[in-house]
Amino acid sequence: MKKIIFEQTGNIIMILLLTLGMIQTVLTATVNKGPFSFSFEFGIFWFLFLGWLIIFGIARFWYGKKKNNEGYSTKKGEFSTEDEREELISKKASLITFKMLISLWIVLLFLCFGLGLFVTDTKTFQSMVIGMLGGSLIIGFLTYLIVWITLDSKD
Amino acid sequence: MSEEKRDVMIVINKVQSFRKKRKMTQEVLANKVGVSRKTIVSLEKGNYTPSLLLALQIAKVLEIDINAIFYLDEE
Repeated sequence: MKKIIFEQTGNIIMILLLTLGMIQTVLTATVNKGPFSFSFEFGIFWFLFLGWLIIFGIARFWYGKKKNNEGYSTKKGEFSTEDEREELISKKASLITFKMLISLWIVLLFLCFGLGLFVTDTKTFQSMVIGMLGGSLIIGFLTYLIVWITLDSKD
Repeated sequence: MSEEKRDVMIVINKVQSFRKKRKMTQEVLANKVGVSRKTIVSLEKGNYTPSLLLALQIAKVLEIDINAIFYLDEE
């Protein structure tokens, strides 16, 4: 269970920082049509994201090498399993997460359609779409984590 | 076999009693068959039905015929 908490916490922080970095860049970007020129800035979140990638990468490598790591594999990540029971839990958690994400993305598609009609400011709309996509990924990671823990505890 | 019939068929196991007869801890059995202790706990509680491979490995470690440890409860 610890390996899944470790992996998903890292993934959630990574996607959160990436989403915030993207939103910040979109909000600060400027584009001139004639003569064509553009500028954008890498804000604090991009640096935090890069920093987190390094820290998380080292932590994953260390966790993979550690003894008694419950079968954690850096290659498999959240799909790491120690035995067949955990493999079954992983498959069930993946299936539930997939179903949840598909439903969520259908809702978000309609939401984007609705927002596209009413939000006139392009940057606000772009930020909203990035935020929704990032948020849905975080919800996906959280769902997998919660389902995994629930199934593991139930046994 | 229909899905309905599969749902009512339960695999009963006597792992706990045979393990205790062998004076073996759950940890030792788990290590010998290459699974986590939690899997043995789940199995003994009847919450988890093992694969044929794991069932055969357990029977081999406990030196018992597989049919004596695992059997179907059709009621």
